[in-house]
Order: sequence, then C-alpha cells, then structure tokens
Amino acid sequence: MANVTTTPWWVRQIQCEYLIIKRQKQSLVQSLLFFLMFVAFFPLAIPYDPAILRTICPGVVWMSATLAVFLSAERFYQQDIEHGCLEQWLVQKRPLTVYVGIKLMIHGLLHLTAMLLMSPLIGLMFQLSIWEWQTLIASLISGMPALVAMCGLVSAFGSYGQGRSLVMILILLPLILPVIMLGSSSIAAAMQGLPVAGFLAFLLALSLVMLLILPYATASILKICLQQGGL
Amino acid sequence: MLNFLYAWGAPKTFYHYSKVLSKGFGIVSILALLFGWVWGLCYSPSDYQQGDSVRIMYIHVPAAFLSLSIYAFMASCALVTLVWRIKIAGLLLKSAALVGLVMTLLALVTGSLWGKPTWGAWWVWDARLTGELILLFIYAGLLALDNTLGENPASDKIVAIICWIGLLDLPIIHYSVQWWNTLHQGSSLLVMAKPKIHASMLYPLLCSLLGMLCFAGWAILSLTQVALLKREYRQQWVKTLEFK
Repeated sequence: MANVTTTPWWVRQIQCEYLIIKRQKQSLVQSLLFFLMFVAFFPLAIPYDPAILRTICPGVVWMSATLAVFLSAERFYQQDIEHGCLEQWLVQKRPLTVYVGIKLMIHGLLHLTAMLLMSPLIGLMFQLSIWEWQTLIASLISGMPALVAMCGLVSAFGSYGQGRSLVMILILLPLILPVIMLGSSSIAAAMQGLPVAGFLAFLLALSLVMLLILPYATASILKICLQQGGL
Repeated sequence: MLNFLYAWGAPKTFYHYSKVLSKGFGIVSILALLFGWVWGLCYSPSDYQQGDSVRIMYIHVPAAFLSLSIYAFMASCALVTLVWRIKIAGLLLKSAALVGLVMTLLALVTGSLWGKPTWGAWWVWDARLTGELILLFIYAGLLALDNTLGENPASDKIVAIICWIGLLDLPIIHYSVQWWNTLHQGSSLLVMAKPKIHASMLYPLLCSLLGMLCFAGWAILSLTQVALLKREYRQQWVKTLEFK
C-alpha cells in the first residue's frame, strides 16, 4: 500500500479511487452490462433489415454509451459525502477540482477499457467493417472524456441521493448532444467512405475543453452542496 | 452615479426602480409592436417568391433573435450572480429563462408554419433548426432544475453554473448558417454591413424587433418583481407596499 509520507496525496487518491472500484465493482459492471444489452436489443426490437441496422448503429451505440456512463456516474460522489471524505478534503484545503478530475479520470479509463473490449461484439451485431469498427473505437476514445466530465457535473446535483435522476438527465442530454452527434457522425461518415479525421478532431477538441472547464464547475457545485448540508 | 447602479442590487430599490422601468418597457413595446406588426402585416410588400407568407417573418425573426439574446442576457446575469454574488441577478436569470423558453417555442412554431408553404416541410433537421431545438431543451432543463431545487438558497448559483455551460450552443446556432450548407437562409441583418433586405421590409422588422425586446424586458422585470416579493415577503418594505 502507499507510504503516506513519501507518495503525493494525489497519487494516493488515484490508488484509492481504483481500489474503491475494484472492491465495489457493481456500478461499473452493471452500467457496462446495460450498455451491451441496450445496444444488443435494437437488432432484436427492430424488424430485421441489415441496411437499417447499419444506418442506426452509430446513433444507437453513442446513445447507449451516454446512458451507461450517466447511470454509473449517478452515484459518483454519494459515498464520499456520506462518509465525510469530501469535507476532510476541503478542510485540508486540497483543491476539489483535482478530486473531481481524478475521479473522472479513473472512471473514464475503466469505462473506456470495458467499452472497447465490447466493441468487437457490437461490430458483429451490426455487421461493421474493420474500418468502421476502428472509427467506432476512435470515436469512443475521443469522446469519453467529454461524456464522463459532463456526467460528473450533473451527478453533483444528486450527490445527497435524493432521486434527482430525471432532472440530471434532462440537463445532461442537451449539453452532451454535440458530443453524441459528432461521435455518431464520425461512424456514419466511415460507413459512407468519407474522411473521419475532421469529426474526431472536433470531438477531441470538445473533450479537451470540457475537461478543462467542467471539473471546476463540478467542484463549485460540490462545494455549494457541502456548505448547504444538502441540496 | 455608482450609487445609482448599486441601488439596483438592493431588493427594495430594485423593486421600485424596476416598476418604473417595466412600465416604460410596456408602453414602448405596445406602441412598437402595434406599429411594426400593422405596418408589416398589412402595408409592407409581399415577397416575389414567397408571396404573402413572408409576413410571418415579422414574428419569427424577432422571436428567434430574442431567444438567443435572452440566453446571452441570462449568461451575463449568471456571471454577476457567481462573481459578485448579487441575488437579484439570480432572480432575473430565472425569470429570463421562462421568457426565453416562450420565445424559443414561438420561433420554432412560427418557423415551422413558415416552412410548410416555402420549403414543403414542417420540420427539417438542418443545423439552425436543430440548434434552436437544443436551445429549447436547455431552457426547459434549466427551468426543471430551478423547479427541483426550489427554495434552496444555493439554487441561484447552481442554475447560473449550468447556464454558463449551455452557452456553447449559442455560437453554434448563430454561425450555423455560415458553417454549414443549410436550408435555413443566411443572415440578412448584419452588424458591420448594409442589411440585405429592402427598406420597406427592414423598417417594420426593426420596429417589431424593438417591440419584442421591450416586451421581453417588461415580462422579465415583472416576473422578477413577483419572485422578489415572494422571497422578501417578511421584510418591512414589502408589508408597507401599496398595490394600486
């Protein structure tokens, strides 16, 4: 385990977050199962037509990815607030932005890894070619930071666990729409043989901007939450 | 002079000043709207291609312009709320969200009524229309958030934060007609160049625009006054108010 005196506090926080997920795999595993199931049910629910499946594939994958990340992000901060860790963080004058950033990084990386592992299955279900599958992977990698940052933001409202999911998703969806549209357009462009670099570049730019701004906004909301003693 | 500006941040003086201002807005808006709409709907020329259906422009363009500028106004109120912690700005933000929602809805509905005779379709998924629809959802989400947070004193700050994050949609809508090849026509009214429409259509349009702006000002101020009274109902100045 980390030596408290020599390893920096942020490294220890990263290890702590990773340990928490390793020991409480439920939210991650459940959200990924949801992703896989939701995507898989579209070919089942829609009358079988390969052309239609290929057309809707980008949109379906991206909407499911958004919902899956949102569902697992809903309880991001709940445990830490209930156990008082966030208050201790503030008392020690550590920047809350870093806390949010580390959480987003760990969850984002783990979600991304699992979604990438599932992508061959998705490629099979929707009969994607190798190039389209590669674009799917690239779009997920480029868009995941934005997704996870935005879901982290909206989950800061419900951090006291009071069933705020509907409002959270109502705010999330319009704000995350550019990311979803770019992600699915990149895969759709790959299907038509058009160049995809532009879409992926735009997606990466959006991810970078959101990673810069949103942790700070999330930290502000969390601070307000803690000062209020609840929302 | 500065004291006059600071007075706008205090509830009691804001209430009395805004009463005067909103009355002014109301009168100007009624006159300008009457003048602009009667001129535009009855006396302006009809378009050589679109015929008389172009007259819906005098409602659609001001509503769309307002949907964007009200969001910009909300963003500046959000800045004032977050940086200078002025509570009145938070109230203005929430009232503006409601007026903005109505304007966006009006723009979308009149736009679709206009689109049917001219484009042959009630709705197309082009860049500007989609951006406006997203703006509608952002307004609705902000109002839903405000509703959920309710009487919580932190609700001002949180709605302000979310308002700022939604600001990204605004340049997308405004520049959508330049960046993409859209069905929606490009800008006819430009800040730095001559307007692209003839004076006989330009003046009623500007008049209706002014009228709608003043209407929005009146509506936002009136809603803010009510919200302020609700929030400050225990204060002495509220108890001694007379309602004519």
